[in-house]
Amino acid sequence: MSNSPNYLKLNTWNRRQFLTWGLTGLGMTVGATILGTRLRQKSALVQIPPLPEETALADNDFNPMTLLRDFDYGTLKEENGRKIREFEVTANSSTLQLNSAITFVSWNLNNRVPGPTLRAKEGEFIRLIFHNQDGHSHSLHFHGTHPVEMDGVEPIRHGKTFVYEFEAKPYGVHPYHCHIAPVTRHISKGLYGLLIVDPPQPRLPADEMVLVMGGYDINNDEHNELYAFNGIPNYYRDRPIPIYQNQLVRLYLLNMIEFDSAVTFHIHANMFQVYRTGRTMTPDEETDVITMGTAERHILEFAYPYPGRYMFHPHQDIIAENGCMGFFEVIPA
Amino acid sequence: MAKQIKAVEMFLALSLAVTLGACNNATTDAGEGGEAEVVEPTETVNQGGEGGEGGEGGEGGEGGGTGNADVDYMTALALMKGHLIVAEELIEEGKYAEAEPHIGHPVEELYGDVEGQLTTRNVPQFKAELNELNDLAKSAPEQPETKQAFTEAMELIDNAIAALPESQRQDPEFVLGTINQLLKTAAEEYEAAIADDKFVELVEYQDSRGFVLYSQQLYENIAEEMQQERPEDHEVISSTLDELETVWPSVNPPDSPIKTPSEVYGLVSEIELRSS
Repeated sequence: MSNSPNYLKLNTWNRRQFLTWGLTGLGMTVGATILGTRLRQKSALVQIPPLPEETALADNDFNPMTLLRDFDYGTLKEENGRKIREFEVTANSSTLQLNSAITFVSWNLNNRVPGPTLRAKEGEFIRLIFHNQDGHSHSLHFHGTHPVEMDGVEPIRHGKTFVYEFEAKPYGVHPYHCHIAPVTRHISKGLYGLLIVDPPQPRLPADEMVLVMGGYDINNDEHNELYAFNGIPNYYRDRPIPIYQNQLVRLYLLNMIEFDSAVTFHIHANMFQVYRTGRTMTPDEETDVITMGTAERHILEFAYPYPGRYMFHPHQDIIAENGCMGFFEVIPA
Repeated sequence: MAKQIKAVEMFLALSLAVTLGACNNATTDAGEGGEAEVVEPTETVNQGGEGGEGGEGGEGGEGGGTGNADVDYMTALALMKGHLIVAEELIEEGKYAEAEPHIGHPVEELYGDVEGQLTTRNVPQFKAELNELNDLAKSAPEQPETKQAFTEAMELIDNAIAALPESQRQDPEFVLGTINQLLKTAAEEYEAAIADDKFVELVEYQDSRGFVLYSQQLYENIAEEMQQERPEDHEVISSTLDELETVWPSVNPPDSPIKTPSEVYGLVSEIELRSS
């Protein structure tokens, strides 16, 4: 479950509940949280539908439905007057049941693919404690700005721990991934995720979620046989993501598909606003398709005006038909 | 199914939590309920060649986190040897494509672990030679220049090992420390080769074979002394190594695993228990 820091508090509410963002710090009903006075925005409403039942997968350690909105804010610490946001991850191998017939040995962080969606605010100091319990050497290379010692290209051998420390900057959406060669194999087996660096002034409240596109080279022939949003092929095709009609959705989208040059993400029956690399506070463009090479990522915003079930997928349709397919279930407000 | 959490991992996790004062997902919402959590500064250790601040993996952590720089140095070089041992076997069978990842692993996964140590120990750097071998293995695997580069790489690794005093290389405690790191890595790799009781990842099967074969070679250096000084331990370690070796009957995996990953972990633990 996400654990919001005080700079950004968001609670999940069902249809009878709503989140109030305010300036006053007044007490609320149980479970509700008011943002601190640093926020400079008007009250808004974010409604997130209750999750469908039976979303967990018996044979897998993680649930893509909960992973979708699971933001890891780490642990806030203070050392010598400096605030540090500390995260801890462990690399290891574990099996993923990609479908009823295919069991895949994944290399991953914290038994999930993608790894945890780390989140901090621009300017905060990040400490990431990286343990490698896998037989292979691994590393974590973060996109964004940092000194060379923290660039994550040096191998961390089995049984070792390395502490990555850097300032969270610039604000935006930054992938992280293992950078040990062959990088194609280390990434496609599952060693990747997102670091979201929030801007100094928060974005508008929205139903926020993460989608990471990945590919699986099952037989090590340097071609993907299966694809997935958030780790499990066809998961959101078979279990649509519930969202509310007219609710602003903010999608943190990353393409980490190796072996295929690019994919063109598409949502049906709607347009979305694009904030390229998450580096802007105003949209760069509006479209319903966006082409992304490996490691490209954007923030997309949209709201569905009409209820119903709407596809989302890359428009390289063979990729969609091999697992990278999902639906939004738009529920009447 | 997730891999089982092994007791040693539990121990490591707990010791790390204590050592680093870290508690994943135990969020402190500063400002909501008072003060932010204040912790003592984390003690960090510069890892040679890794730059920055690297906290070693707790007390008695697995793998390279032994707290013994010599064992860590030797372990990285021993892992390189293990990779090249299976690469050589595959080259002899004409399986150049299968050999290629094992030729890449020393420079891609391990060299960074010893780079700083080589300078400290007055050993010439040999990354360029490993890179050249890796390039040749990809582009001209059957050429005599590649074979020559392979032979040179083996010699350079041996040379780096020889930087350790001979007395240390013959010392049972030191050698067993290295063997235990090799075997733990082999067990992890073996587990990562198997799904649904079938070998699904050839590279990891072969990796683990190389590490076990080199463990046997290393043990030969101390077998005589162990037999004289610690006969009971020697008997168990020697026979367990022999039993382990049967799990990898050839560089090509058997039709189905001879032992489960859990059984392999068990044998590795037996050797570790007899090592101290």
